[in-house]
Amino acid sequence: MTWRSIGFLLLFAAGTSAAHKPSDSYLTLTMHSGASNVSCQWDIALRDLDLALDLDADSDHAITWGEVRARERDLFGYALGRLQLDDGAASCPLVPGELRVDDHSDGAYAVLEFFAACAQPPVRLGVDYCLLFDIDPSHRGLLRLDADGISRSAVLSPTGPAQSRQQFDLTQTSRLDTFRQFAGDGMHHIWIGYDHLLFLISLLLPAVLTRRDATWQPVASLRSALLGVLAVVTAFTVSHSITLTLAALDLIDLPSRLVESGIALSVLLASLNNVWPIVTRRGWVLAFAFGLVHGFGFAGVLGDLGLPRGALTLALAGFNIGVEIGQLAVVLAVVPLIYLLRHTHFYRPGILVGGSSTIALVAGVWFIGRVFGLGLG
Amino acid sequence: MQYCRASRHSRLAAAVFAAAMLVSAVAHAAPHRPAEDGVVLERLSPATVALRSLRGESAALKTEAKLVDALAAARRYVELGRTHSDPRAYGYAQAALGTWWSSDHAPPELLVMRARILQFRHDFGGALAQIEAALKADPLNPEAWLLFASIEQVRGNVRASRMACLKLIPLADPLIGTTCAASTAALGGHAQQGERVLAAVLARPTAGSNSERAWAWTTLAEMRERLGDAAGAESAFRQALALAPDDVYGRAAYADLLLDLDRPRDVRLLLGVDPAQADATLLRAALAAKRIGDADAPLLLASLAERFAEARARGDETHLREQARFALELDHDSASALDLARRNFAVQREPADARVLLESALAAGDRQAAAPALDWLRDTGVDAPRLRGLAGQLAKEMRR
Repeated sequence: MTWRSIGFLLLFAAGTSAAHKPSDSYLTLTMHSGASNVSCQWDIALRDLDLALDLDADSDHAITWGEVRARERDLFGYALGRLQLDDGAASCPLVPGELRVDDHSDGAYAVLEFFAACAQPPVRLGVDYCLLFDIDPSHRGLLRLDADGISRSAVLSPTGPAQSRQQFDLTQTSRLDTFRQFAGDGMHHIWIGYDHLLFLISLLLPAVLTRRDATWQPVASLRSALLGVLAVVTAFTVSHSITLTLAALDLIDLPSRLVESGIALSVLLASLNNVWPIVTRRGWVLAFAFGLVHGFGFAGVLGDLGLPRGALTLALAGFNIGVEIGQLAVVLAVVPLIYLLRHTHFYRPGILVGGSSTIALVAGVWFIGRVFGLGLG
Repeated sequence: MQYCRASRHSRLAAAVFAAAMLVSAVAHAAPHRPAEDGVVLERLSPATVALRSLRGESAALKTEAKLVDALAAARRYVELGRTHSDPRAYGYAQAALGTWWSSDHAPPELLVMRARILQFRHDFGGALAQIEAALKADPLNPEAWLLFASIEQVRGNVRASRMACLKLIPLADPLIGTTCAASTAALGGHAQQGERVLAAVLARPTAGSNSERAWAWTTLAEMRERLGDAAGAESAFRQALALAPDDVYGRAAYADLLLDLDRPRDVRLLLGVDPAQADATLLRAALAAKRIGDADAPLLLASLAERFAEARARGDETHLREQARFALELDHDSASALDLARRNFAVQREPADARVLLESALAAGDRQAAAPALDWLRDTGVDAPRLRGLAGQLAKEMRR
């Protein structure tokens, strides 16, 4: 055998070079409880449809809206012939709607709107998919199901762990589940979000003291300590709830670097205020002002979790209440301890000043790292 | 109604997908009906047109195709896919193989073709299994040895790669054997000799095809670039691109050199404005645009972010190196970059993979995370002053 039998060459690096986008379609199904119709939107790349249906009628290597529109019926026929929805008992006929177009990151897509007319409100929604698998076995259908605001996703493929059939049990999740899930996420975020914890602790440390004649004195009663804590916690809650809501509803959108830097700055200033006191009587003012920034931070997390569109308020409420529960747990753990320690000689130099200085140091590093994008925390 | 056979399994994908799809849903424009019939929605690139006409031909032979015809069609798809780095073409190649894709009795040529497709999808284990079977049946198969060398090089197994290149030398054209051997020699600490030998072979007349010579020039360029010879690397890249102007790998590698030389404007000139281009070149275009402060920088960035989100949604992990660079250099998120770079280095271990891992570890201040790259540098003895510099910097930072 001579070298010529290689025929053509596979570059060494061929496997390492990142690719064009592979072929994907985006299928979004929306349902509401009690309704037997499922509304569907299916985005399919024109490039893929052209291969199957020869959309470029005049072969000028450009696909125009006129060429697509003229084949509207064929497009629906081709695509809907490769999708089947069922309600668990019987297949749901697919009824074509409007054809539109949209741009994705890799080119133009046909957007097919249609609905599935099920005989009854589906309890178990089945999806069978085989679009393009005969032409390109590496094609995938990215499916999203929004049922009463709860989003679920699946990848449809001809073989392998993902499959061409997906079934969704719609009895399993309820609005309560959405709420619970997001409340859990909120609590989790407080526990792993050291910046929020340190901010809260910085505000709580002086709550068992009172400022008199330029020195810190222990508060006399549990009642006045608790009132101070209550004011701080309430102010923080109200303010971060405001910005969390505004951001989650897309009314305000701040760059995450600004928000994250702002949060670090708030921790820095709150802790420094314990070392060199400026705001001493109205800690709640600090809590309120800086709480606004923290709310944007929570919204960033909530955005990353993927908000169910139909249950936005439910998810938002769940997440916020989760955050409050997490915060309350911190208060319950910290306040009794510092209340008992407030008389000790150690408390003021060791915990208030020493602890706050440590927090300030950490927050300073965060702040510089986040402002300059150094990735220090 | 025509329908497909469906399996009865169901599996919910992770909730991450929902987030990714939400992101991708937000990033593009809203669905609409254009006002005029004449509005051009999509221009088919020459590569797409070529694929389209190939498809027209092979659809005719589809039913009960003879293996030799199926392989010929698959080969042409793969060649186009390789040049343009287009995964769809590899999908068409698989489809062209039809039932041969999964048949148990496969001759060596079929095994090698399957390996080629699997390798593109970064299923290196699967690809190597096919190659081993091919070499068992035909120990003198040059394509199989070349592919073997290529995969082992990508996986960072320099010794295994060199062994395969030595097997290849008597079976292949001197240009191919030398490029293979020189490339692995450079990774094994013999870059100077490798560079000399390869440059000498390239100076001689050869029967090699344009794409083979372009590959050799690109390999030479990368060797010189690692040795710090920027001018020599640039002239070799230009030779390569004169032979294969569309080659995505070569263009991306040349763009990297230009970025390192702080010549972002030349990167923009090299890559042009094609929003539908391959991820590899789109990333370099975005890096250059951001450095210059070009008006389209935010658009390029958003487009890349959307592509990565879509890749995550489909469960595609072939872009990890590019994603890590995106996170590190454009998103300034060193924690994510480090995570991506580590996962990438677990799969592929070439100098560029080591570099992004070292840089991410440095940015995140986590020397421990760079250990696999440091070990690899030590074990292979690769000649790469820049990588050695990064490793030294990492050691110094940590001592502080």
